[in-house]
Amino acid sequence: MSVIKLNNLTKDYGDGNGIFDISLEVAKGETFGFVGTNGSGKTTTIRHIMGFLKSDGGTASVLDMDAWTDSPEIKRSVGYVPGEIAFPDVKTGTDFLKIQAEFLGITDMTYANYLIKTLQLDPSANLKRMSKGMKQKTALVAALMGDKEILILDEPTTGLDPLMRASFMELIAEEKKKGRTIFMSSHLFEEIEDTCDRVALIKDGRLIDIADMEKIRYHNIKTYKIEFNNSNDYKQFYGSGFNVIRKQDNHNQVTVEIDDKNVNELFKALKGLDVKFISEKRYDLEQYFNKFYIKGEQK
Amino acid sequence: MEITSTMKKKKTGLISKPLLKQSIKANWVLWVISTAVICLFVVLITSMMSSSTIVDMLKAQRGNNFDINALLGNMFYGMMGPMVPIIYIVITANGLVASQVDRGSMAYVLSTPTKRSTVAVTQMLFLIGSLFITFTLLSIFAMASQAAVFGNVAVGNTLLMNLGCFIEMTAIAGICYMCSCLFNLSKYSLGIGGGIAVWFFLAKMLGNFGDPAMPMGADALKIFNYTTMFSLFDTQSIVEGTTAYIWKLAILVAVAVVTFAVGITRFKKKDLPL
Repeated sequence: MSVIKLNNLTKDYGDGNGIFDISLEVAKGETFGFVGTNGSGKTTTIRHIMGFLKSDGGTASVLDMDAWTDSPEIKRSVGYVPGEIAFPDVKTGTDFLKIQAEFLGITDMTYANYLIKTLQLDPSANLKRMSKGMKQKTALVAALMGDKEILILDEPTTGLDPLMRASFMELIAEEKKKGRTIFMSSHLFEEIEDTCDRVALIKDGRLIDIADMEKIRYHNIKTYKIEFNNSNDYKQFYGSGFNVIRKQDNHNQVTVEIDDKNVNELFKALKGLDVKFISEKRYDLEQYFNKFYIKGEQK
Repeated sequence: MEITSTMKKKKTGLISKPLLKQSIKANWVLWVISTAVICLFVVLITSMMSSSTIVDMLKAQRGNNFDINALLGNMFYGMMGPMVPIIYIVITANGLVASQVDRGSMAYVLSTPTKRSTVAVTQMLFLIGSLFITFTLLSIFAMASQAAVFGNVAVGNTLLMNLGCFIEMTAIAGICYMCSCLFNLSKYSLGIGGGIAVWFFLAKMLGNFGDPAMPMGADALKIFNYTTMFSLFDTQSIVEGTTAYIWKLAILVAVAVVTFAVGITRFKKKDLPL
């Protein structure tokens, strides 16, 4: 069963701004990443899922309910971290979380307190004087404390330092283990590729591709960069029939792509040659999506 | 631990208690200040009247049953009185909706099962309710100070003055609230809602200067009375005991009903950049 379903979702703000014909499905228990540069339409898409925006065309549904008309009902199952951090006009983080718990009908704060501890948040601080990272943590606690089936996170790690980002990612992994469905946007490939099962790339309001992280993580074509100590060996190597994708004569350096099952051929070919170094370039999401980006636009 | 399973499936009603609580927390300081100022105002003015020659004249004319509202009506309820509540209304109406949409904090309310209509109705009730308490307190202070200063209280007319002023303030609150619901940016909500409120107030002042009761000799200024909704609060009619004030207040009630309704309806249907 798909938990979130977008069908040709369109919002046209004119001048090519907006989102156009976005279709995707997120299955139950899936962690779905949504990447794209700033202004590519990630937040606009999420706002439709949350029922804040009414589409110009197409539909967005959550748990088979219409995201616009059944929005309050859907929210019983959704935890949300907005892309912009702005809290209601209350004094401290504790005040805010208490009122938020009331909105959500939570009476038992055990889980909220666990989250506060994990994220090392001091909620008694004045909301207005909190650092960006502190605010983001408060927003995360507010979204997670309801222990909802679905989590929608709009750039949730903004403002977090690397250590906090790591503990946040651990929390997400925990939620994932519980079988939660997670929809998360980011402009950072690294955090998406570590946590997500599938990743959609959006560019200029259009969905470019959806990548299966499993295939990227266990990609069978590997890229190796090899540098030789002398040009004779270098020439001998690249003449031996490997799929050379790049060569630099002045450095005696070649980059080759080799299927895992042929990797022994590589070692046989290198035997007896004077290798300066060999390194494997990991195949990652960025590389996968690179082909969709025009040079210069890459984030 | 499964909080989800123990969570009660509460039906979302017309009013959200946590939102009301949040609105009180966010606005009580300004409310206390504006209510205290206007109550202090009525006490001071009433006590200052005790030694004025006009009061002596009134006393001579009507004996001990004179009505201080004949003086307070136009001067206090018609002019200075509304000034402080107007400031409260302009700021609060904007803060209840538009500023929360503008800053994005409304996202936290609407990411819970709270309906948009519940949000809009709750915020409206907070605004009207807070004004109602203000004018209830003002009535009490007005009557208490009359009792202390003159020894007699014009209960009926004092209550009518306060009711009229409350209705007038509710109508202007409706206009400001409607602007707050229509616009996603504080600057438009404040600029247009506040602009209208300030205009009505200033026009009323200017119009008053043209009033034959005021010895200003600037009759032409009367024209401003036709450009302000506040003319519909007819203090003269209340004091004189005629019925003209009734239909005029009815129009103000209608303005309030329409503006609040338009605001709530629009808020339910519009795109929110949250």
